[in-house]
Amino acid sequence: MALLVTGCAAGGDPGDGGAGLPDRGFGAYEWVVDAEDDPITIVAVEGKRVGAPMAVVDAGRVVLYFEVCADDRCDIGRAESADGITFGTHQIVAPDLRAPSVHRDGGRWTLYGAHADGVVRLSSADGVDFGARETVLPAEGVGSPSVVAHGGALMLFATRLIDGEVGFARSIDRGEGFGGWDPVEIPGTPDGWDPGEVLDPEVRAATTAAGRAVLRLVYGGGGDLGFAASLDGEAWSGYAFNPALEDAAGPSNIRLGDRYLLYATRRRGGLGVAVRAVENASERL
Amino acid sequence: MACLGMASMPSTASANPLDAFGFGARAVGMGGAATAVSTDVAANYYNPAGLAAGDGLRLDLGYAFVRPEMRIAGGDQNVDDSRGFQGGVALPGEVLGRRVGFSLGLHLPDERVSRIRALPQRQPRWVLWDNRPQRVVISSSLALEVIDGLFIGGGLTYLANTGGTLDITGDVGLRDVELTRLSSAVDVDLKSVRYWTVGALYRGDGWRIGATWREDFSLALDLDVRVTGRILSRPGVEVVPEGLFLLRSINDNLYSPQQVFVGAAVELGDWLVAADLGWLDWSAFPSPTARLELELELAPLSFELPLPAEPLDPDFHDIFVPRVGVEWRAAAGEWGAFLLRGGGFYEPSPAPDQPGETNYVDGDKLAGALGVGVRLADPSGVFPQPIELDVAAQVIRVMARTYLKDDPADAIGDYTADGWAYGITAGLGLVF
Repeated sequence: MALLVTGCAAGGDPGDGGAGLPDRGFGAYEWVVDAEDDPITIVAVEGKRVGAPMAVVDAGRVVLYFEVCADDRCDIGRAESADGITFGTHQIVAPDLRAPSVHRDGGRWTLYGAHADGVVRLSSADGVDFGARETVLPAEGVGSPSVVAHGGALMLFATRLIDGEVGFARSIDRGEGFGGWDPVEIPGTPDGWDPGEVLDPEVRAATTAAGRAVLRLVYGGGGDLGFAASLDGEAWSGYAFNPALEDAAGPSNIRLGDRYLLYATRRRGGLGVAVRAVENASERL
Repeated sequence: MACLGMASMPSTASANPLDAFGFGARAVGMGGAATAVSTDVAANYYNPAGLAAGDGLRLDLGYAFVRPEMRIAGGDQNVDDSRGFQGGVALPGEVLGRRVGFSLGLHLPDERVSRIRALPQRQPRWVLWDNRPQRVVISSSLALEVIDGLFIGGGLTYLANTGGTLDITGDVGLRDVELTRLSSAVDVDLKSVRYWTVGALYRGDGWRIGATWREDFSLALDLDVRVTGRILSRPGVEVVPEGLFLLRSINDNLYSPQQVFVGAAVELGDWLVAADLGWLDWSAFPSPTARLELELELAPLSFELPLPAEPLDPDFHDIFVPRVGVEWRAAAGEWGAFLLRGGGFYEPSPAPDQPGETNYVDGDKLAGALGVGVRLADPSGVFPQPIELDVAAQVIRVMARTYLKDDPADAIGDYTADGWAYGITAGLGLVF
């Protein structure tokens, strides 16, 4: 008789009855590293800080939006990649803006970002040339907006200062503009990762392998990154095997074929990318 | 250690290849509706009482091959083929004017005698398909005619429980590997386990009815790992004078539920029409997750082991399985006969939805089968009865099923599962 004992994989290992199992991309990611085993820098701008990535898959290519900052000013840059790892030359697409979040609706690209006065919105037909900005949610102390369409509404998730502390909140636009803020709690997992804070949240609409719409959140806390998910954007549940990536911040998560890619700002600075390559990527992002 | 604690090892386990894919080409070709029909070696499984109603000493030799193609979220799970020799001998005769029969039946896989695969509780697996076809079946049965036309029979099927202990004793150097001296001993015990199959058959004029009860079966795999000894910081300096680590894994495998099948068959000219209805007691399905017991004593050091999660109740339910089959004697003459068969069955899944941590995947099964049989008279006269050649092909559709998780952040998430299984069984029967 043969006895096979599994390892610690959340799903299972190929060869141990784990071949072809669905993988949501919630598990552990590994940095793409250089010859010295350091995470590679995927986008660099000399003399400036690059961070807060937001990735979009368009026609099989990865379009990456990110902050390019010097002193107290940030602009939004854009670069493209065929494999999600090697990016071409970047260009600035939105000056004086932070923390990009791109929402696509049909052929339109809508770029949301954080400004001193609140959250602003810019629109574009090609994702490159954006028009005039409008403030969609005036509020001070708002950071890292992330906009997603779900349940017939636009949901804007962001960090904001609440009584002097960074909190996580949601505002909903059901066609009449964004309203007030509702606090959002992300419970930790028993005996698991509970950073006690939500930093740099990115919320994406996804479809499970059974066709159910779900919202997935990747966020930072305690210097690491973890996942959470929700069916309605209100009640959230943390992934039991967080963190997914250590020593990182400002995440953005996409799927490209059978790979899930996690863009993040590394602890020592600069944008890196971590990969989870699986046999059966099951969640559509 | 943490891995063991987290994994909470389960095993996929259930039933046997005969429950899943049938025994013998004739019965398979009739959709498994053979409780009132089988009188050959396949009666060891379908109804031992039929062994006393056979025509003569017979030898059955055959081979069965089934290829499952089972998918979860579109990904092929590489469920292993089930293939192996099927056959045996049947010895009908008369004692005190009553018919009797004895038989030995075998399903002997040609890849492995058995397989026990331990998987984490959360890992999706085709719970009735993974280990289910991967085991040997050895049955011996006895049958007799108690009154005219009424036969009863019973049989035992055998396998071996496995229990084992790994003892490791000695010294462990805390910092200096040179201080580590360990010796080990392995003690493995194979104990036979038996379960009953009992049946009755009544043959009237052109009709017959039968009933079979099969006892439930579970194979135990109990493994103990015991590590005892001292932990030394330097030669002769004990950090832990009497350390103990004990891991015990208690595992139920290859579970087959108690089941009752009733069947009837009628002969209508050249036609034989058969139907079975079975009840399978899947609600008694024990958790296939291994129970782990851990103990660690490293006094005066203080350590705590993560407690393994208690296996969750799989919460299966009983099912009823209808089977139908026909056999048509299409041609017959002095040369022998040519038979065509067809049949099918519907087996609802006993597995509940899986909204929580477990992922015991299964779906309703709809099967169709076709078969041919040739009876060739032996002109040499070596075989007084025609030589029997039978081939059957079956297709089993495992209906698509959708699993939705209560926890939107579940590690596996929602998924759909479906599958097909394609099988062919061939047999040669020699009646003396």
